[in-house]
Formats: sequence, structure tokens, C-alpha cells
Amino acid sequence: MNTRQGRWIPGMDHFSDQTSTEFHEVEARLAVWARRQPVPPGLADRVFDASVGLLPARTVRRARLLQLPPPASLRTRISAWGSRLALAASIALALFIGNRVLLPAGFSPLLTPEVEMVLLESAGGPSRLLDPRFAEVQDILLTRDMTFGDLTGDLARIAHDLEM
Amino acid sequence: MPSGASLEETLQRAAAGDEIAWREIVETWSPRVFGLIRAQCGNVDLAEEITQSTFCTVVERIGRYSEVGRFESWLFRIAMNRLRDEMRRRRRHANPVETETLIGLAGAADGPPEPSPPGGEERSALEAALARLSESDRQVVHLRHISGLSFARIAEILGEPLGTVLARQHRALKKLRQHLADEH
Repeated sequence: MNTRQGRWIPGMDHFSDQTSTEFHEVEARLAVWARRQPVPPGLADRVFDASVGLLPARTVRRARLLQLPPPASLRTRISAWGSRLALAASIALALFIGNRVLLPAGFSPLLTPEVEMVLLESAGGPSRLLDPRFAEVQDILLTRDMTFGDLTGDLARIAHDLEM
Repeated sequence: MPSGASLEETLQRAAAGDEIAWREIVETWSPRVFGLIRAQCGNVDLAEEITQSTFCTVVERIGRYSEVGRFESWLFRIAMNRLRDEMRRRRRHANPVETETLIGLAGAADGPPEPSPPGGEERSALEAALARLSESDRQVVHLRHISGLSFARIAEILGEPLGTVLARQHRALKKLRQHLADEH
């Protein structure tokens, strides 16, 4: 075992990857035999199909897919969105009716006021701090052809002089 | 077969989830893995099963693969370990069979002979000669000639010193030549 080809050469730290010509005939027969080894048709496709689902990124994608809600909860969500839509439509309709029907008809005081308190200033008398929903305030607004929309700020001031 | 640098690139792409890269790897290596396992166990179905299992293991670990330049060794080592585990498992679960049963099975298998493929006689002579080698010598011949691996890779896969692998190859070829000469 000291030829230069294919075998260990004492004193050398490398070797040739060729075997010696001594076995050339046997190696040639082995090469032919190896080339003729049958491989089942479609082997690579089956191996690919069996393993591709385990690719790292696909695993992540599959995990994300699993996070999607199942059909029942999907229906619940759709139902919830439907309810919200219906509520929004109802509010829009109510506002439309309020602004276009009730307000012109003088029902504005019935709407909820945005102001928290009304300071009723009386000429010649003491000023009073009233809840805007208080009947007296609503009466004053009606007589002045005013609505709660005309009152701004947390504290609205109304000069109250019925005597005028 | 992808060259060294492009193989590493292909592996990186596959590790990032690139299915095309993974297919390239499978198409390049699965016939060689299959050929080795089939030659070792002589069973086509088991060889395909182990080949599939090997590539499933590889793809599961491909994100952690760090032995740059040693993919071949890694792949074939997994395949050889799978085969060894399977053979151990089969031996463990093998039931003792009566001699009469074996004779009966052998008789049942004696159907009309299958037509010989081209070069069948030559192949059977070589396979008969290979069968007479020791398991360790035959393993080196399979790794070298069916899987097309370098001796350095074979040494890595078997966990043996390079000199031992070279000595086995030399011994195996010498015996093969002798056995083939005896046939004639």
C-alpha cells in the first residue's frame, strides 16, 4: 500500500481519491452495475411531497393559517359586524330624522344636550345654574327659537329676561 | 449535482422555505440515497421508506444545519442511521418461523422466472460476489460506487479513520476480483 494512486502513502498527509489501476477492471464493472441500479419512477416527487410540508417557512405559514378562526367563530364575527352595521345605520337614521324632521318641527329640546349645565342669568334677579334638561330651560329655548345645538361649552349662558 | 458553493446557497434558500431549492436538493440526492439503501437492504419498498424518512429529517433540521461543506456526509449519515435503526427494529420484532413454513414460502415464491434485464447475468455475478464480502467491506463499496462519495466523506460518515476506509476498499476490491475470477 505504497503506490501514489488511491492508497495511503506513509509519511504523506494527503491521498489521491483514485484507486490504483490494479483494480481497474473490477471498478469498471462496479461503475456499470451502479449506473444500472433501478430507481423507481417518481421517487423524487414522492420524497418531495412527503417532506416539503416540513420546510421551515411553510411551517410558519401553516401556523398562521391555524390561527384563523374556525367557521363558527367566523360566523360570530360576521354577526357582530352585522350588528354594528345595523346600529350605525340606526343612529344615522335617527340623526337624519332628528335633524330633518324633528328639529324643524320644534322638537329640538328633546334631543340630548351636549352642554352639562346652563347658567340662567336673569336681569335684575339672581343667576341660576340649571340642568339643560330642566323644563324651564327647554321653555326658554323654545321661546327664543333656539336648540341645544346653539349652546356651546360645558357651561352655556342664557340671558333670561322674560320681561323683555 | 450542485457544486460546493451553489449547494450551500441552495441549502440556505431551502432553509428559508424556498420550495424550488428544496426540490432541487431532493432531485439531486434522493436517487443516490435510495440506491445506497436499496443496495444495503435489498428491499425497494424499505429503501424508499427510509429515503423519505431521511429527507423529512433533513428538512426538519435544515434550519440548524451549520456544517458547511459537509452536507453529503450529514445526509448519508442520517440515511445509514435510519437503515440501522430499522434493521434493529425488524430483528427485535422478528418471530421465529418453523422450517416447514420457510420451505412452503420458498415454494410459493417459485413462480415463472422474471425476464432478465439487459446485463442481468453480469449483474447477478457481481452481486453474488458483493454478497460474499463482509458487511463493513460491502458498505464501503456501496458508499463509494453507488453513492459516488469520496473516501474522505465515507470516513466521515462511518466515523472511521481515512486509512481504515482505504484499507477496506482495497481489501473489498481484491476479494471481488477473486470472487469474479472464481466464477469463470
